[in-house]
Amino acid sequence: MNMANSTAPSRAGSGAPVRLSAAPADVAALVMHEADLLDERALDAWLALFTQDALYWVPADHGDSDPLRRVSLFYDDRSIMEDRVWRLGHPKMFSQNPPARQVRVLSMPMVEASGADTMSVRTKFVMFEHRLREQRTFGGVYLHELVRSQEAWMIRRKVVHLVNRDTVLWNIGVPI
Amino acid sequence: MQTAAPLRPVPAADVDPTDVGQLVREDRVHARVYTDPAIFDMEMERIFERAWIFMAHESQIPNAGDFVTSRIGRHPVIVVRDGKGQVHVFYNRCPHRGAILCREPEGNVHHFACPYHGWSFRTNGDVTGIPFRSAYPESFLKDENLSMAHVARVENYRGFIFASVAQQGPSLVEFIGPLKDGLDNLLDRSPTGEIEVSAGGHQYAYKGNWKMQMENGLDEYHPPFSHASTVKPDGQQVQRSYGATGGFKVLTGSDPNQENARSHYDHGEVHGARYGQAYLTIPDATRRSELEDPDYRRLLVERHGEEKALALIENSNMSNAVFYPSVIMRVTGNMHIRVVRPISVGLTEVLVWPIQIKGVADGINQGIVRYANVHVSVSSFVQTDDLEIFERVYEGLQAGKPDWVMLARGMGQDWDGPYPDEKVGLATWETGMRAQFRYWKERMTEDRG
Repeated sequence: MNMANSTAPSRAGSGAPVRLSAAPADVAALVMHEADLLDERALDAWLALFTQDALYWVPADHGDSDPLRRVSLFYDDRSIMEDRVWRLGHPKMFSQNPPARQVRVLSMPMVEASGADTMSVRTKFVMFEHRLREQRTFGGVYLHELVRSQEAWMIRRKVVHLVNRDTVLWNIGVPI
Repeated sequence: MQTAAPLRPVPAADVDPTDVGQLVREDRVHARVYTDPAIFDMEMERIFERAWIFMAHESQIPNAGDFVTSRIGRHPVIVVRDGKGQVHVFYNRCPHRGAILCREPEGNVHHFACPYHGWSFRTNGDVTGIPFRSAYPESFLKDENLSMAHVARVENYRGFIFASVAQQGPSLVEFIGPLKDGLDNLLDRSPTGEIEVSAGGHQYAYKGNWKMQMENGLDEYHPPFSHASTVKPDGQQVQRSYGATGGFKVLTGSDPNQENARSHYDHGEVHGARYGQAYLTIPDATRRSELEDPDYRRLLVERHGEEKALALIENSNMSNAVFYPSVIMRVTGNMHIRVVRPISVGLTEVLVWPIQIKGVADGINQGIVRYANVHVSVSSFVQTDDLEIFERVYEGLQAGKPDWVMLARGMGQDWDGPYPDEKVGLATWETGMRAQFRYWKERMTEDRG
């Protein structure tokens, strides 16, 4: 189960989107909770949802893209995620002073694949962000790859496919 | 708000070039050079239509029909390789009724076809199809030049393609002066002598003047302050490369406001030469990261011999090369090409293309891509704060008073370098910006008879 090359939406061989089932309640709650933590900037708690070998990836290309060979908007292993959260708490991170206020609106998480202790879910989202008299909107699809350890689901991988990922953007301060 | 809609500046009022000359002094420039739309219009004509502007690296268009689209000041252009392998730069419009011929940032074509009335053009620009042509007078078809319009001059220095819309002027090599050494040095860092631009690019905009980015590429006074949020308590930046245990040393630990306190960056130099060409030499930048890889070192020693390879690795003469007015190239470590595109007086686009080295292990090039993501992307740890500062400067300059922006660091202390008109100072001095503005003033006040 590797979502490195997943593109939204999930498609059958014919190219048409396939029909998926809604994620179980505990998984859906985790995805919603993750969005809430980002909205509230509870970033230490956000980081705690991820495994030690986690990856957070926001591709810059449409279609298949190898993040090792092509630039990404974010391609954070755990060490970069930790540095990013540390920096977001720094009083002299000027590009987040004042901080952006954000709210994420999510669709129902749907199961793309599942195993004994793994599950991949996709969720559409819209994020409104306000900073310095301006509001901007991001939209796209979240792909969460989850693993269950000791009865609790953890995020091993989060991929964010923005609809406008290949255009000229402005500063993005906080993980999407 | 995500896409930078090109704002149309207020039409230029008549600005007397003599007055513009008053806006630049040796140690300061007037705030209007960053905020006045009429001055921006003059820059598009007097600087961007005279200088050599960076277009692309030839690895971006390796095959017949490969193209990228770009801009020279306000002119949209197409850079294309024709069927015989020659690279052309054309104004990106149909010679018939003016529709833009090519909107894609890159691709491959057999020919260019205008969607409006179906005129078509070979990749060498020749018009090849004019539908229902019999309605045109024969003399018109015979006498008019109906092919795509060429930009006046195109030069390729070891794969780096530049263009100039000026018929006359210095050659590319004369224009870039000392920065030719930077391109040579960059290519010498490849065991095959070749690099490629194949990792895509970061692209973003900021609400500020284009010169802010060009100046920032030479500014080693700002890092401990603008980038304070990247500095760990030990004074080093957060790590950015595979295998690196620490980042750049940024702070020395002493109070920077103490009398006689020196910046850590003053172990490097900034050079500013003729035509506004300037560069930084920061020794740690050349030693860090990928070059510490033993296999990579061995390949460089095989190519250059021990002495030259070590000189390259340990003591590059250039870490950041700022090609006025269009591009910054990071020669070492975080190797990339940073294209700066003015859209209006208060809006600028920046494109960053990581450089990939031919003939080295994948890990080296992957490290460069990772470095670019963390250092110069739209979500990066470093460039985001620079973009924020550029916007704060543009906002602050609207205050109108004081009149001047100060560029006096190291004034009267800088020394002569080997290139024509070259001045050298310590890396935190404003020697490079002063060179940029000497060229700016020369062009902006030029008597055009």
